[in-house]
Amino acid sequence: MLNADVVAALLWTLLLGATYWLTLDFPPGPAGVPGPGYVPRLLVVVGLVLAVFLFRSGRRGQVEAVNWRAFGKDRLLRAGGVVGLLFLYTLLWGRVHWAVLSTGFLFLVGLVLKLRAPVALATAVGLSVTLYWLFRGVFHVML
Amino acid sequence: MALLAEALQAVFEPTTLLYLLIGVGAGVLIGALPGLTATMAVAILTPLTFWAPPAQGLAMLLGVYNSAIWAGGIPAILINTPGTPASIASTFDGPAIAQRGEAGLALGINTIYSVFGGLFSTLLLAIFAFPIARFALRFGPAEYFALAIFGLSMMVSVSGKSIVKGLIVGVFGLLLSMVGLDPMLSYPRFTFGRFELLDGISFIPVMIGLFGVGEVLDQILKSREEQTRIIPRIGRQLPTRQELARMGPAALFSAAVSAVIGAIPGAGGDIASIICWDQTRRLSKKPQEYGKGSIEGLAATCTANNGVIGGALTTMLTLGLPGDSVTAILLGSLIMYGLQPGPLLFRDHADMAYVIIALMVLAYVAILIVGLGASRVLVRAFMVRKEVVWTAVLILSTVGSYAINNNPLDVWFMFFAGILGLVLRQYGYPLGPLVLALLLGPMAESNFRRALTAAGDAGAWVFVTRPISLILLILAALSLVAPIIQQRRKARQGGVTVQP
Repeated sequence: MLNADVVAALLWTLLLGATYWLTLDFPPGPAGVPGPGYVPRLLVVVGLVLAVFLFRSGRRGQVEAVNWRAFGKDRLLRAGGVVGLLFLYTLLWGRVHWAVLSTGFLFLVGLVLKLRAPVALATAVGLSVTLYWLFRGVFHVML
Repeated sequence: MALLAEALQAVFEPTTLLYLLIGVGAGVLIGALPGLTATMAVAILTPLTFWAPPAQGLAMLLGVYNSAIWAGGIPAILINTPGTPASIASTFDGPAIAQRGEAGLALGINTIYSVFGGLFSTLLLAIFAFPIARFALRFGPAEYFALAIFGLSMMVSVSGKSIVKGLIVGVFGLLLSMVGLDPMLSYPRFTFGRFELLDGISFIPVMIGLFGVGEVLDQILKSREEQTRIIPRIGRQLPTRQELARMGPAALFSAAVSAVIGAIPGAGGDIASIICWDQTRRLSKKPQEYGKGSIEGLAATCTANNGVIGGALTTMLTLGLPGDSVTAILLGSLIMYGLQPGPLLFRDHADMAYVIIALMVLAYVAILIVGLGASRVLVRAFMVRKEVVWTAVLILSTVGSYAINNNPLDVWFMFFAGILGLVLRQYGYPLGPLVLALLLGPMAESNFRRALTAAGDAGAWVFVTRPISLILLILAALSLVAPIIQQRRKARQGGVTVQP
């Protein structure tokens, strides 16, 4: 069975492969004068050596795999819910008025985190209004 | 003297003092909440300081940094749960002192000796920063490259169980730092034709994601149902003269040792306080009391918590090498303010060095007043519901990431860094090397290439023919090899398998 380190080593190798392919466009520079492609390629080589070490360590089974189930369904759902809401919030950023979007996001996050609805609403409204005033009104950020 | 007067004038401006107090207040809240770290506090509050002059921005960030580390000791003493990783060792003796009805004394020791450790290390910062910076002015490209490698390797060697994992995140951070225009020839790299990426990956949103959002998600996964917390009676806070005399040697020893530990990249308050607790136990006349409510033990750990800060700032300010994750963010903030930490800071902006030293002193004065004057209120800080704080951290993280450049892409960087931070934490990959590599990447690469270009035919030999560069590279290699040898030796003795 593949453990976390073996999978990580393979993914890391893939990432390094893609990086190397991208560096082919960068000039390596003439002899003695390293160009923009020199260091990235050097790092890819170093990374590959490290991938071999990680792979070997994984094959020896020296690492305890993370048992995500041990966190429990409830906590996984809460964390997943927050990630999903944060993704939606980032996606809708700039398309909906910031104060409205943030209030809705924070209220839903509060509910996912099992705050009582009135507490979640008060927290959401309080934070959104305060931060909107601070960043838009005081710092003139284009929210 | 004119520079000092200028610095003091900037520091004693009412707005600067207000920023400092806000920082101290925020640091108390975050430090006193178990699980929320000083790194997170500084990361999410950094965007609030970009609109302020550097002295005011630094006032808030240094206030947060120092007070969060100190306040982490409050829950460690009262409910046996460290508020920040730096106060882990305060749980060895603090709760036992509180349980025997002297919670106030334990809190008083936490405040007095955190302030002592912090001021002692600030004094060392004031004494050594200028000479170190003058010495570092002699550094050329080869030395700067070696310094970056030394900093990264030290961070890797102390920040995780696995050297290989630390190195992998370090290489990943270096590769990320190469997104954008090449530092020497302005050639676009890894930009996929998008002009938003020409400036590279913004450091602050990544930091906010890793240490703000990533930390919150990690906390959600590991949180337990909140139990009713009983706050013990506070009582007297000030130690007697005999108690002060008894704690003196341990505190002095810890102050000196922790300042040195703080100057080593990667070694933070958690490592320093555990080492100081252990070493002062060996030197104590009553070692049997350690771990059972020893006031000496508590004084040693509290001194060490804050004692590392001056050391970490010395390395960061003089060499541009952050001592820990918090100083890495501070370094990023200084760059955002238009100040480049390193020896040139002391030559071109020496007033800022004085400002930082003065702000450190003022931060500790504020902590002393707040700590001894309002402890009965402070002990209630950790009664704030974690869920409310998580919500606040999430919104501050997003709006703060965006606000730096008014760029929605930064919010995406923050989001993905948050997910990355969560995954890396779960699989035992340290975040410190990633942050440091992202920060030091451009400096390391440009100096590496400059050194090679200047060396001509000598090529890479330039790094080993210059004494300072050679010493730094040898130290870097030793810092990576020594833990592996140590692990193998332990494995041979205990029959445990080794993780390189």
